[in-house]
Amino acid sequence: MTEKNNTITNEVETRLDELFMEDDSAPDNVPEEKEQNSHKKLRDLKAAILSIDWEINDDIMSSLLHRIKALRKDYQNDRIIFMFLQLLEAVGKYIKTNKGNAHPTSIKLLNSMFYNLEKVIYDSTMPISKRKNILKTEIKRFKILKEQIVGQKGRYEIPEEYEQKIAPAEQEETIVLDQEVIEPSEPSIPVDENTRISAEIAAAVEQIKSVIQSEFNALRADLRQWMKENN
Amino acid sequence: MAFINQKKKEVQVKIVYYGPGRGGKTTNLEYIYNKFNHRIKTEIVAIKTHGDRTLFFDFLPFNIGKIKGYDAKIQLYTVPGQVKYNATRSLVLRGVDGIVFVADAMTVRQDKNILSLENLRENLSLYKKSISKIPLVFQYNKMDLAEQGIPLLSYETLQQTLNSQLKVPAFQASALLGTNVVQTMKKIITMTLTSLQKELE
Repeated sequence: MTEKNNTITNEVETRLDELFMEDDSAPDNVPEEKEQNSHKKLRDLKAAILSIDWEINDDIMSSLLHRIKALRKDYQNDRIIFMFLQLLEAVGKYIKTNKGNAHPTSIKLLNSMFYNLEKVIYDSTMPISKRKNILKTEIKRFKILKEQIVGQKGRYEIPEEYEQKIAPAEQEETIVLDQEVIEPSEPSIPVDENTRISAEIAAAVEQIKSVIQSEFNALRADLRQWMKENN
Repeated sequence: MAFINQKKKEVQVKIVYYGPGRGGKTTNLEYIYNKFNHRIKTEIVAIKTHGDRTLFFDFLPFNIGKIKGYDAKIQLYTVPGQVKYNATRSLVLRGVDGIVFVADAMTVRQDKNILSLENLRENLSLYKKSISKIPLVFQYNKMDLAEQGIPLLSYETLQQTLNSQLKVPAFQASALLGTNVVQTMKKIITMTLTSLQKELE
């Protein structure tokens, strides 16, 4: 080996020794181990989410939901993260039910939710207000998706059983984010809301029908008048 | 060939962990990540099958700081070990600068090690690279299984079977326990960057 080679070798070795010194790295205490386990589960979830880009099938989606469930146990005392996981689960179940027919935004939303969940988990210095704001943004996106799905029912069919399946009945408490109160059943598409929307649509249809009828009546009257005049 | 940006003074090297299926390639990367993620501040990306096997590859990028005035970026990859994924293995080898061959020290896996090493030789030749010229380190993994009474190949046998001609550095290791995982990685990074000496001058 030449002298020059020795120089670079020494430089690299020194740099690596500094970076990967094993003695003072993460001590094997229990909380850290627990955190590492959760981070591993998070990475597994990331792998499952990434594989949706590859293929959507029952195995992949079941694995994704299974991983979300495992994380929910770990973070049951952290309400913000728990809510994130509920949102992910709701969207995941929707995609599992609809697979390739799922609304295109749902997959984007799943990725965006996970991206923000990672940010919240990994940045331990993030202020609580920022965590809440990030969650609120995702909830808003979730609501928009729900509206889009309801608005395009038929094209992106929501199976009846889906609404029952995704209701997260496990959560018992109400989660308060600043002034906004989020009911436990938030990350689902509530039946009540659907009923309200259906009623609004029905009323609108009735109104349109009545306008068309009155327009036709006026046209018929005009036509009769015109025929009389020409006879 | 390593990516060297003379203008930005950056060097990016690709190191691939190769070897038979279930040999411990992913476990190597996971150990490094779990042990040092607070320092290397990065993410590991893994795409697995339902049964937790590597489907495409695992990827762990990190920076090691300045070497010869260049920002050195290291990218560790694994390949799927299962025989059926040869196209992916071959693809992951594209542009490789250094290789860790993770051999399974279990006696029953002797043939799989030999086949995998032969497969590496063939796949490298697709890119006109020679196994005898590329920086290479052997890792004889699962040495911890001896305590459980599982028959293992001795260091001498593994050296004789896999490394008698290549004569490259070799480590006995346990990726699960972390024994010699870091040493293996340090060795391959050092050898790879040293091989780029001329380009970095």
